[in-house]
Amino acid sequence: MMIEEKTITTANKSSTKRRGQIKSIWFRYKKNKLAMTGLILMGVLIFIAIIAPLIADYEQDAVSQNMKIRLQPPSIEHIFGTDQYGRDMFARIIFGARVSLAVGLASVVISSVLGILIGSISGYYGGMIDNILMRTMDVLLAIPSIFLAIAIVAALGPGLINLLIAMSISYTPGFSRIVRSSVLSVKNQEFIEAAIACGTKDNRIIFKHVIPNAIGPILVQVTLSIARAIIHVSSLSFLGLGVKPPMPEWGSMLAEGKPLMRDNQYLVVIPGIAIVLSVMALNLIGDGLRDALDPRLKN
Amino acid sequence: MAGKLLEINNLNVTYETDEAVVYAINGLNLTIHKGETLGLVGETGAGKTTTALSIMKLLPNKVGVIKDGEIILDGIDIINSAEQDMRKIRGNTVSMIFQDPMTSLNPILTIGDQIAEVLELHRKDMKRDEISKRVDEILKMVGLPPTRKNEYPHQFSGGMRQRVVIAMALVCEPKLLLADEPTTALDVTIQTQVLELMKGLKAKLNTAMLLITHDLGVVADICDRVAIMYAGKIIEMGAIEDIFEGKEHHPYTEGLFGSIPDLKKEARRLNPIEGLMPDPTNLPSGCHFHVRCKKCMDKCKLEEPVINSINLDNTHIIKCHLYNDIHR
Amino acid sequence: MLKYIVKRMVTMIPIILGISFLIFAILDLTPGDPARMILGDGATNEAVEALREEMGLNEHFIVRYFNYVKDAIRGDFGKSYRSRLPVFDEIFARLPHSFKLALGSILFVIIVGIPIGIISAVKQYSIIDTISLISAFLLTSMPGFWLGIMLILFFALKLGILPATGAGADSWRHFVLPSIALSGSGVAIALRMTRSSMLEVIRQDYIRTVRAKGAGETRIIVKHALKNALLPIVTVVGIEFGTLLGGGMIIESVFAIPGIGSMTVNAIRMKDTPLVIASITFSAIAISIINLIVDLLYVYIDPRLKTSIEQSSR
Repeated sequence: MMIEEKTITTANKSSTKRRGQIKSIWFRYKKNKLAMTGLILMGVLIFIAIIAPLIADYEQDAVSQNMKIRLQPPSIEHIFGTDQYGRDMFARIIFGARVSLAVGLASVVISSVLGILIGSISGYYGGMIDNILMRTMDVLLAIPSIFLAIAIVAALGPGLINLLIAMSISYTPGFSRIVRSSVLSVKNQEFIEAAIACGTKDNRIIFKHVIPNAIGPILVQVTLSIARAIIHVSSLSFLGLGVKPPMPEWGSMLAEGKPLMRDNQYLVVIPGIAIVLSVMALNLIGDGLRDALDPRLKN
Repeated sequence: MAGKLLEINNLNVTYETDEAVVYAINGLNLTIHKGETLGLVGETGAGKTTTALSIMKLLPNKVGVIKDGEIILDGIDIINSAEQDMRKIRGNTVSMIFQDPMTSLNPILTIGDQIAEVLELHRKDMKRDEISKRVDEILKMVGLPPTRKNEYPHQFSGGMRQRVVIAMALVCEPKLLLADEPTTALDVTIQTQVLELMKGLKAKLNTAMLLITHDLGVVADICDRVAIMYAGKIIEMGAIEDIFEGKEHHPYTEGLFGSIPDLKKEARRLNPIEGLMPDPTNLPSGCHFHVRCKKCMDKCKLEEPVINSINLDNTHIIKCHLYNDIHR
Repeated sequence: MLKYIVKRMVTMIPIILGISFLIFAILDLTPGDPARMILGDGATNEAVEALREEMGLNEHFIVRYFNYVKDAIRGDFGKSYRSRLPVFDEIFARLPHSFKLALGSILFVIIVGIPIGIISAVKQYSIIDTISLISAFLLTSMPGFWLGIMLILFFALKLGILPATGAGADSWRHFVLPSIALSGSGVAIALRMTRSSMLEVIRQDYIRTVRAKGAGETRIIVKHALKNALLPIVTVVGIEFGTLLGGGMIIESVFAIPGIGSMTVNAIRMKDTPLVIASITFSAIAISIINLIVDLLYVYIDPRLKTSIEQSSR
């Protein structure tokens, strides 16, 4: 059973190699100060988003209107002030964080899983399946992702779930492309041949060997896509095509604040900064990952 | 003997990065006379290309530093020349051709434009049609049809591209041509052609040449004098008769040649010598070659040798303790 | 060469058809009855049914699509559900404004992004380089509409030197802030790509040859380095054009510019399907044309491509 043994040892080697690789990747990542800043920043944001209900009350502060305290600039009581309906801006921001991060994360996770599925099947089997799948992806890719998302929202109507569906669909083609090319480059390596030779089932090969080796670029793309997703969510909500009021979301907060921004600048500055910080953190992480994965690519 | 065209005295060049200092050239002395071809021979890393780049003052910005010494070209003090003045000299008084013809030409400009550019830079009084005529002339001289001057480099073979490079270098009739291994990257058959071309042009235009090469056959064929370089300095220099037919040699030279080849015998390749070039960031004490030298004496480990003249005319010099007491 | 262009234009058609089919299909799945929406809730069932017949809504989906394409080729893109005016007219009326916005943005991207990228590359690691890289990074982390809002806040409301909206859209001043806002991510991308492309080109052997010829830095950068670096820059700016169209929708809304983008957004809100289908298809066509232009630009920039194209079409 020489070939079987060879496969097992090669596979084991590749998983120990992987563990060692992960350590060295993390080591390189840690050295990058900007990347670490991004990670810490993201950690803080996620933390705040998670403990939001402990700091503020959703119903009372973020949603219900209190016209007596409307349009108050930032003060000790309301650190980010209140909006035109008397809602506490700080509460709305941190609950808005939940929406942005959740939708961003969820849509990217869904589309990356779909992308991995489509990309690995396409790349691994090639031929007719590859052709059909990739042509479809090409048509989808020919439309800028935000367009596609808008079109789908147009069909389904605004709302959180529909937004999620729309965004997931629009990011999938990009992921499937990346996965496919990673799969293609891994497919021709020796240990795959060895695995096939001793009759390992296809899906086992795909899941256990092909995909783990393609994880690197996928992870970078995931991080950067979440960043884009946050911008898309806020853009769509700004246009009224995203979450429905009164759900707090940074983009819709900007839309509400815009007519009043002449005299109440904080209404449009603060939610914007929230978006910029989150996106920045993710971009830093994504760039840091990319550099850590292949330091040769650095200029 | 024709007058001196290039004189290099005690040149010291280092490459300085954050991590280390590389002592590339350490006390180099060199002379080239008008119309003469000097071969510069040595292993990779000896500092041959650095020498040529220093003459052109084309060392990498900030990293390459001329620490000390003197380079006089046609009466001009190169080291103290400003960049604007150097630009007038490059391509005009002195030209350089590099090793790899496949990457030396701009892929998106026609070869005609690239040759014309040298004229545009240095012959500002020439009109467009005059430039065009001159380009045709030089193309014919290097053996390329002028009808092809509107074609792009990728449409030519390696040998032809090198001819274009030679054309660019010679179109302003420089007094000195620096050729850094011009034929190494070419096929053997093409090598001979290009060399013949260079010989012919050299004779016609009376251009002096510094020919950097590995190939002793080339040296025997085209050079008037030879200098052998090791660890950033010249350790032996002389007329080709002295080097190829003389009896006294630096141990390194002997190693290079295997046994001294006859001018009449066929060209020999270099035989590698045991050991490696010394680490240029950490050169050995005394004579830099002593670690690899079969004839190493105690003195060699401590003291750097002086330049010893082997014959009365001072045309053959060897930098080795073995010859300290030679007085002929 | 001409054969190549024709071949490319022919290939564009299936893609555009594919996109229009896709959008048609997506929007057709919209719950809700267009006829009822037009006539309002109070309409009788007979009236609704009659309108459905008139609009051909009872036919099979594929048939409707074919009819749509048939009419579209003749220039009839249907009528807006809202205004009952021909879609084609509505789009054409608004086209100049969107075009001016897109043009302004691309100009800004090219005039600001590329030169700063060049300077950044030539003076690598200097203060200018650091500042421009940081700025590029900030620009990509910012939603375009927020940049627009901040620009309005600062230049229009505080300083009062530029109009706050594009309403009217009659003078070029109305397009300055919107173009800048829209160009945000494009400038960042152009800057980065120019910088890295230039850095790579400057290392090449042929640049050393040009120096040895006695050329000065300016000539080296402009005549030799830049032209060679242009290819990836053009690619990236071409791709950015697609993002520009999507972003244009949002910027037009922020600045109230009466262009195709803001029309589309409203049409989506009002579920005015013919308008939506037409404008998205139209944008898809625009993107395809830009892609073709970009590919032709490639050939103009890099003569090696021309040779390989001519060889392959023999």
